[in-house]
Amino acid sequence: MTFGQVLMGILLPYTVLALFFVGMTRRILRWAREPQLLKWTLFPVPSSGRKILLTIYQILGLRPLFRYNRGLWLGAWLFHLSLWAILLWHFIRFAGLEASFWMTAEQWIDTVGKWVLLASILYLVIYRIAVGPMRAITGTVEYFNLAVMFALVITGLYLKGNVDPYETGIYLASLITFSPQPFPEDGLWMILHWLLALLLMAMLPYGKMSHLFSQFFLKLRIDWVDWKKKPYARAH
Amino acid sequence: MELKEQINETKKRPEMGQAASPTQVHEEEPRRKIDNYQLYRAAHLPSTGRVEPFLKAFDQALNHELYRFPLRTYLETCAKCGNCILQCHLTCDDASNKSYLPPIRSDLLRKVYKKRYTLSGKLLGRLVGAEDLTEEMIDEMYESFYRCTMCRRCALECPMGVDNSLITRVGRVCLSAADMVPHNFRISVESQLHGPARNTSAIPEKAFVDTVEFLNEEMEEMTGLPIRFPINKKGAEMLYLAPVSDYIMEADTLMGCAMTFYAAGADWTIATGPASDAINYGLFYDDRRLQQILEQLYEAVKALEVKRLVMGECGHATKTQKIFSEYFGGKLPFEITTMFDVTAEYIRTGKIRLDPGRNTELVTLHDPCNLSRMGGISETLRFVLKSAVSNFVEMEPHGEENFCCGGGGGTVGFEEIYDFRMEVAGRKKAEQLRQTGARIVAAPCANCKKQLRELIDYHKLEMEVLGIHDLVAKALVLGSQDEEGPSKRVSS
Repeated sequence: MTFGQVLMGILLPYTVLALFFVGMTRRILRWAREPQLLKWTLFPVPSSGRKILLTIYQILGLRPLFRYNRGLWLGAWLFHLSLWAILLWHFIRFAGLEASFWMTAEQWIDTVGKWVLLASILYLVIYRIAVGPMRAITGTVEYFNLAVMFALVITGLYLKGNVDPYETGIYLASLITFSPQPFPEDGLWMILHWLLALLLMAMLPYGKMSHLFSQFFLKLRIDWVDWKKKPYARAH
Repeated sequence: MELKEQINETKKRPEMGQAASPTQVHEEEPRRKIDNYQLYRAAHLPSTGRVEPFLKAFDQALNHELYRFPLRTYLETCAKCGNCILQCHLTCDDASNKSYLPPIRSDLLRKVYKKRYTLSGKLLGRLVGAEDLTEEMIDEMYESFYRCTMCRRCALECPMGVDNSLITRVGRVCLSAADMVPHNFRISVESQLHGPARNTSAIPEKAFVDTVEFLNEEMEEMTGLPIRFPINKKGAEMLYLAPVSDYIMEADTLMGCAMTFYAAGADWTIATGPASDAINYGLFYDDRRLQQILEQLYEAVKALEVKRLVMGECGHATKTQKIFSEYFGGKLPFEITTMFDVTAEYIRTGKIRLDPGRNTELVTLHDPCNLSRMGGISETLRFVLKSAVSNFVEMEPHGEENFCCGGGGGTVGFEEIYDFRMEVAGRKKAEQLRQTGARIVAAPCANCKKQLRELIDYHKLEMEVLGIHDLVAKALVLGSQDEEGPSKRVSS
């Protein structure tokens, strides 16, 4: 293996994986373990069943945005949906899943998903620029995150058809099983796509993208803790 | 000012939360204005040496067991989706002033957090929205954090679960450590903690007792019954605790509660001294003051040996008890509840009887944020009110989704920004009130009552503001001879 292959294929991905797992684990443990002393409940506190429903609605439908800002919701919902779909597409393709269900899903995502993702990213950028208050609250970080996503999709689009999925699949599997094979020699676009994916992964636990997990801890450990079921202060 | 002088100035500064006197007086306007209103008053506030105590307090808050988890997570995970802008009463209809946008306000503290606590902030600075705290930023924060009423409506619909009001509150705590405290808070808390009367309005005990005796006479005149406010009755079942301002401003609410207790045959009392005043302005800006006020209150309540502390019609005082009583008060030998819960219990158990036919005018309810969204008693409020009136209309939106009156978070006491409260913060509420077409708005909170009265006057609405127990008193059937009720003799 050349130094470049070691760097791209072993050193960087394992560093990023370590950053991702250590960062995410630390954060999740912190969110789960931190003292829960501030009775900062937001009423109405939903019932247990409704909590589950609301959580599913939030994950699948981005409930508050759907309720109050359909314009932003459209872009944000399509973005999140297609992002998850594209991740699934990668999994199907590189794991070599061949059952008809998976093949149909792959084709659908390949035909529609990638363009939806690209369009929704552009939509979100335009929305943030065009709508006054959104422009005011959007900072470099938000544009940077969207730019990374955009570049990921563009490089991904180019790679489609220019990469041997079998070889890439073997490489990715070797990474996961800690027996790394040489990084596929698929040129500059592959390197860019790979670097952007690693960058995204490295950023996720440390920035605002960690809302992926934090929102549930905030709901379950702050907003939905019904202190009212206890008297304000118990008599002793 | 030279650096050395600044350091010396800083050394003179007190620890977080300690009383301090203003030091440096500077120009009449803050160095960064956010709108055409101004809370800043140079005569009462320092102008330099504030950065260090501010940062020290911020560090303490970020590491404090109460705030560490929510505060850090709120600062780290806002995705800037802007949903809060649509929920906030300052910005939902007019978002043209970007300083009013909740994420922009929270960013004032977030910038400092990023710079001090994140690697990206340290390395990339402004590029990632990280900044060092400056005196100019403190001026901006002082205006901005006191435009937010901490009503938490933004948190209700935040997809990330972020709560800007806690960021505002911690911002105010840090400002307080830098001696940036609104004059109204300063003098009220000083009076409550160190004044001879131990209440925020500095009402001497004799004047307080005279007022209560006057109310006793009023009630007897209205009802022909010997209804009294028992004072300092040791061992009573309940201690009724209202904001002391009610004894000046809200006599009908107080009498309504007294009449309710009388009708139910309750064993109750009010108190003089620290337990005469439910107000706790520490909630709005300073945990240390908050704790001191609670401690002196609990000491007085314990001395009276009551079994229940009943909070009167006061939103922030109820919230203070709900959130902080156990943390700062420890194990208390009495329960804490609200007058609404007590009255609801009396109605349900038949201890009191209400005749809603005595309140026939169209009534609407303003849900105080501290009682409905944060206290979870919106249904209780409705139950009591609907039991007392025959013609009720809901405000839209209402309950937990209701909009703030525009004077929450202690801002109702700031005459410096009266125009802001009327023109910006209260705009949405005035519109809501108008749309109900009601003649009476029931507002079970002293803070909201003041703001709503001022709004009604300013926006020329045909309404009056009453407490829930003002209406309960009118509907109360006090005895077999009571055919027309006290309302016949009450002028409201």
